[in-house]
Amino acid sequence: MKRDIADAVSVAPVRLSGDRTDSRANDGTLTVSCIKTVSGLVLFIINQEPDAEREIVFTAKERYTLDSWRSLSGKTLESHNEDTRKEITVEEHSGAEHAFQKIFIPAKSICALFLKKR
Amino acid sequence: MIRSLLSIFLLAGTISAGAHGLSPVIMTVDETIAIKPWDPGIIGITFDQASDQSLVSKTDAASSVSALRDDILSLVRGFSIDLARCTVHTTTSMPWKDRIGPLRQRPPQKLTPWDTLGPKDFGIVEQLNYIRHLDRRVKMAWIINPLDDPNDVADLAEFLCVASTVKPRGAVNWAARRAALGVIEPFDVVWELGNESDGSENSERFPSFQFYIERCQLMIRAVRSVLPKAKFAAQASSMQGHVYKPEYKAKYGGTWEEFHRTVLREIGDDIDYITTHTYFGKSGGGYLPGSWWENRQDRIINDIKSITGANRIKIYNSEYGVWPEKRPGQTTWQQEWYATHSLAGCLAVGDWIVRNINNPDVAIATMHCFTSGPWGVYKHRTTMKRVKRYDAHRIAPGSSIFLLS
Repeated sequence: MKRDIADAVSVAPVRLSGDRTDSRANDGTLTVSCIKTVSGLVLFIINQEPDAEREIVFTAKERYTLDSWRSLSGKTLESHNEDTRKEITVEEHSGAEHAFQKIFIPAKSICALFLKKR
Repeated sequence: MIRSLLSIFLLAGTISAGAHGLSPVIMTVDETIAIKPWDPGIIGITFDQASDQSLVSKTDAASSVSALRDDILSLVRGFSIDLARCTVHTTTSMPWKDRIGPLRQRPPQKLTPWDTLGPKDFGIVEQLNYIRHLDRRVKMAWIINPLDDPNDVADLAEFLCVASTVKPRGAVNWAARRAALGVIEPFDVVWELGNESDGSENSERFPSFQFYIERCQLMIRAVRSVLPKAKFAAQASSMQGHVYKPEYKAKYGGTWEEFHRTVLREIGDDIDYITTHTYFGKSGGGYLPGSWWENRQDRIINDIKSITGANRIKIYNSEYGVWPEKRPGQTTWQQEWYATHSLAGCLAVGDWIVRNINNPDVAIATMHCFTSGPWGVYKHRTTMKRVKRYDAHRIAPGSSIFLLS
């Protein structure tokens, strides 16, 4: 099991509303899954918009803090890594102590958000 | 509930369109409900014995097990593998017993249509050792070639899944043989019945849906003679739409959908999964979106429910990934191989993983592929003397999986 979700329990439903969030439509560009863990939630967010970051406004039944998050992205959709070129990078980001309500997800990125129950 | 609604309204009051004109996204999670229990097998990966031949280091031909290369073992250490799918091409019938034991006694083999006949020192035991090296708790999905001898398949079930202390079914104690070769603990295996049997490489040997069914019945009976509770995955058509050709219907007398419908009607009671293969390509001038594939997969899920009257049978998405296609101006297919692990490729794969996680009827999945073709998470230099992971962050087609590790 991947270490960050070693204590995963179940998959929780996520409802999205806003532009291009219909995952069954051809123009949908944002998909999210939510894995419930013993200590909180892990949100796995894919933003396929080539240029637009997305503001995410979050609500859940319980209150959570953002413990940390991780993002994978690059300059262009054609970016790729080979022996001598490192165009895609993973960045680690710290969280915050206040209740998690909002985050900006970078354009063309894969993000994993680690939330802890308050 | 009231607090959640209040939060939405309070936040909505401050919401305005972003710099690119897109509205903010309202994300509402209800963690008191479970779509499904978490099964780490939803983010498994496929291993290809043919391309893993380069894993072996020089070993005495009298030895029964090849040693594996330290540089590669060191490179891949840290990947956790919850479900490993072991592929074998079903274009020819290759007795599994020829792929274990003293190296000098193993006959020359041709593992894929594009392979050359020769010694194959990375056999079944080497593969088991390799995958256990990655993760001791790994579960397996093992492809049975439906054309194999059912008795051999029953022996294979004993070899892979039975404790060495259990009384053998035949003259040879295959579980004890496995332990003697150094693989002490048995494996928990899902048995995959064939691999793209109606695909272009296999269809000559599978002339009809009924022939596939009859071979599956023989294989199920063989494995169940050893493992009464064994789980099976039968395939949906490998022609799930994007490569559909009119001659398919002429040959099989039905569309791609008739394949899995026949499977469900004939052996639905004996199977636990229907396998799907979903490759994202550029045949439409851009990546076929995940929504297209998900809608296609839903047609199979709907058939499962309508034909069996239940949702017990789940989807095993046993292969998925980006399929690179040569673009105008490119002289070779290989020039486009980077598309499997470009950022667009990572996003397409990540999006598909999210869809699989969210779909209550998709139980397990194995991304294609740990090593073969353009998909691997590490690559060989052309000299085959050195290997290198794509980079320290493991950025590869599997990056969206390994972002969590």
